[in-house]
Amino acid sequence: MERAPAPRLRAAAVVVPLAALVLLMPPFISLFVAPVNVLGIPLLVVYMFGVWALLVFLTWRLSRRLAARGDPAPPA
Amino acid sequence: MLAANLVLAAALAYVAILFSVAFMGDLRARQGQSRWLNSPITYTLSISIYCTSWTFYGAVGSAARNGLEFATIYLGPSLVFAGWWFFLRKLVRIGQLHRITSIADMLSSRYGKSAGLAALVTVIAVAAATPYIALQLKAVTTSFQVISGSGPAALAGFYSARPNFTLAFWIAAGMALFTILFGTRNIDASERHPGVVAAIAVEAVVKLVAMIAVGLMVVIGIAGGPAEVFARMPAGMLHSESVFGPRWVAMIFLAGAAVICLPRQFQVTVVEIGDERHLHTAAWLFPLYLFLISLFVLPIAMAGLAYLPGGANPDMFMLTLPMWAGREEIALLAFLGGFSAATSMVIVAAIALSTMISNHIVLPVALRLPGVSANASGDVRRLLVRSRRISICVILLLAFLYFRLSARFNPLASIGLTAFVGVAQLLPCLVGGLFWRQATTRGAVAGLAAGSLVWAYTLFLPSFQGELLLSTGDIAAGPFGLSWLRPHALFGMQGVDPLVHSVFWSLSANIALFVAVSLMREPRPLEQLQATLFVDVFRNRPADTSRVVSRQAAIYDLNVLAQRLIGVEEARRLFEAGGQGHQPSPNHPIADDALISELERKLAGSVGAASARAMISQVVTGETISLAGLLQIADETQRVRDYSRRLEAQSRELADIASELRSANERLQQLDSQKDDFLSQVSHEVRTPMTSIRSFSEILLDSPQLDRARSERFLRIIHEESIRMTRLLDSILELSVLEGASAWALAPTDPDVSLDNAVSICRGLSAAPVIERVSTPRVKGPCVLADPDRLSQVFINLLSNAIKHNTAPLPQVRVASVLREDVYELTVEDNGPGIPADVREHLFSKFSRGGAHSPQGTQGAGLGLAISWQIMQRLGGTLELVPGSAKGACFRVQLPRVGSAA
Repeated sequence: MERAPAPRLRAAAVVVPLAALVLLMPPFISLFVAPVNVLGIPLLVVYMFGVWALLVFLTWRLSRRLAARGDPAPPA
Repeated sequence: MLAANLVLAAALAYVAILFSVAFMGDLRARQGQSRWLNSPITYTLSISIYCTSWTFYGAVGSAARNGLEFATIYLGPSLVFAGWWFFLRKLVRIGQLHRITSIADMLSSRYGKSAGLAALVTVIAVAAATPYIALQLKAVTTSFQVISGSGPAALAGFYSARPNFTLAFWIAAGMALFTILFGTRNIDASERHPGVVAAIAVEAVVKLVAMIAVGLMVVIGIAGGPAEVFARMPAGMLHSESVFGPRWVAMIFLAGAAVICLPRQFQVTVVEIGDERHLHTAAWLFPLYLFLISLFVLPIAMAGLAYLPGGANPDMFMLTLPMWAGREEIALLAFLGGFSAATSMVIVAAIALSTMISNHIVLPVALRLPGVSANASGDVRRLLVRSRRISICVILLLAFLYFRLSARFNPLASIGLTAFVGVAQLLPCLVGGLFWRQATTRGAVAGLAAGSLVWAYTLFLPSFQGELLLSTGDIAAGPFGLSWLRPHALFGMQGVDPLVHSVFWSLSANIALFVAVSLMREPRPLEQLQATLFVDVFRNRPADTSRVVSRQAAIYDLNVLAQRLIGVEEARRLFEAGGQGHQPSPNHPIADDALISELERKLAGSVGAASARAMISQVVTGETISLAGLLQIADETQRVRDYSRRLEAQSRELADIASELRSANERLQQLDSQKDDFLSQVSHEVRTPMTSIRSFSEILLDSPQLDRARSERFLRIIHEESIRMTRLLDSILELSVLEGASAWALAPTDPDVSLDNAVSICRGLSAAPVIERVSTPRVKGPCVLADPDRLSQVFINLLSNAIKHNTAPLPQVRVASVLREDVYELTVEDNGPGIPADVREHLFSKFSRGGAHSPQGTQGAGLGLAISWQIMQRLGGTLELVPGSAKGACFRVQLPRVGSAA
């Protein structure tokens, strides 16, 4: 048995990828299909890479905290 | 435009660098100085073999053809790694604990160390990987031809040219050589290849740098800014209206499944991980790598479509764009990037597949052959290394043949997706194995077999476009003209993308059979054990299976087996740690379970769980799996539940005891106050006669001249009061005797005899009262267990009370006795004033007088009813006040009946 991190963190570690998945799936991502450009780049492209970058950022923050809290002992 | 020789020289120089990196890596690892090798960065970079030449060349091609769709291939793995806490962490932990050597080993280990399942997974993996490796050969060959070609044909990306198969063959041979040199050097206890990991980490950097270099050249050098690139985007290139359909969902799913199930991904993610904590870094760094490598795919594709001549091969934009722009150094870098991507993938895939083939196909077959059993003199280690080397050559040869067969059709991306659907078949039983206890070997085999057959039929075979098994006619119209069997429209499912179609049918069949067959039977003990070890890997302590599996083997046999497989040194260490001497002889004692389990674990680290078990089974006898032990370690949750149930029971018991104590305490306090009351009552009762005795005797003493008549009256009063006091004291004495514990001699008695006796005594008490005797037909013979004198005493007390305290002008007492089914019942009812409600409660306590309706002088001590009640208690009966028919008091006596009325 190892010390588990706070339930809030564990929940976040599951929720973040799931939320990103939902944001990248049809009903949501289709909303951004619009002939709008952000600084010359189509909104859709900006949105998709934006969600992706946010996912990376949040995972970075989360994994640091999860690693600090529930550092699993390396198996013997 | 570059000279072919220059390109070749660059490629060879690059390969030489890789060789030296791999060599240094191996050397460093053996010297134990592998800090750089063992860093999370290296680990993450090695995972990036996910980005093959398909990514490098094919993603741009896919973006040019289908717009944003290319991103799905990188979004899926990003999501899987971002969700590492949920799935990958468990996978890696299990892989480390059980020394898993490959995905086939993982599955077979989970499903009762089944050798058949491992072989099936190996076959599926090889079938899925062959086109994938062929894709790399195709990409490298084409890229070489493009970069060393010239003129419009080269810029077009050799769309129609015939690939140079000779070149492809030598590339395959070179890759085989590299893989054999660094991938099958030794059969380690842990199947890790530090040299290879070092080389692919370097290659990961090269391909990322090359991709970004080409991207920057396009965005800044050619177009002059991102906005300019997008301004030149052909209308509708993003396919934004149609891309977000079922195919989008299916591809994100497939890519996520592939990054887990592809044998090479499993190899780098689970097998080659040095430290579980590397996953913390890879969780975000790998998605970042994918993000960066995807960032420039769209701009490059757009620039290619915008600037290059129409009809150019989009798969080669990475090369043809720099060539078109005259930046040959970038073109060369891009070529090396693509070369890196291809070689790293091929090398790791070949290692992973050859390990699987040797461990799960060659070895089990060899163990069955009479000459190569573990006890015979054949060297298993040499057999393993050889079979791995041959497997690597065979795999690359197969890939080469596939490339020759399918060279003319299929863009890179569709070949890759075919492979993805193939390996995705492993996902249901992998996920089920990690989270579902009931999943059984039969279920896994059934699901895998069905899923991969459907995959082969709907996607793999049609990808040969009529060249293998299925003819073009079969593909178009269905075999034997059965239109509902058309590979791209199974059961009439039409108008669906072939990929989505295949994913749907293969995975539906797979999951349905996996679940259904798993539920049909209880898992066998070994399956149960392994399921528990896998599913509860974070809940149980590191697996100590020796408690559960008990077997016997001679130490000598084990030692021979160990030396043959893990080497003399390693075996000696193992046996010394096990407390056994290192010079075992044939008459040495029997090995204990812990040692056998440890050896099996060690062997599993090099030959896989199924083969290790098979080999151990050759030397052990009498294997039993203790069900009790299994249950004990099996259900951690069950154990916790049991524990809390026990706690609950205990706390319930405690609560019961506490409430009993509380009521006992209350009763004691009640008794205490009753005793106090009793004492004060007794003092009071005694004081009244004492006072009159004292005052009258004082008068007699003080007045000697008192006349005789008066003194005689005073003496009589003193005498009467003394008698009253004696009576009182007698009653108290009797009560204390009754409350005492001494046993009475009870005998079968006829209660009506006692009653008659009492009635006749009481008739003499007063002339006035009428005693009416009502009785059921007289019971003949004794029917209760009692002391007749005591019983009479109770009856007399009741009757005399009814007479004495009756203030009615014509006192009447009604006595009725009934013999019921199981009790004798007697009621005494009078027509007096009745018992006031406020005293009813304490009627049977001592000194309770049931109201003040007694004529002066007849007042008793108030102990009669208390004594009667006590007697009835002692006799096992009851005495109570019941509501009568009239307003007077009505007492009821009940005594249990004994025997049958004679």
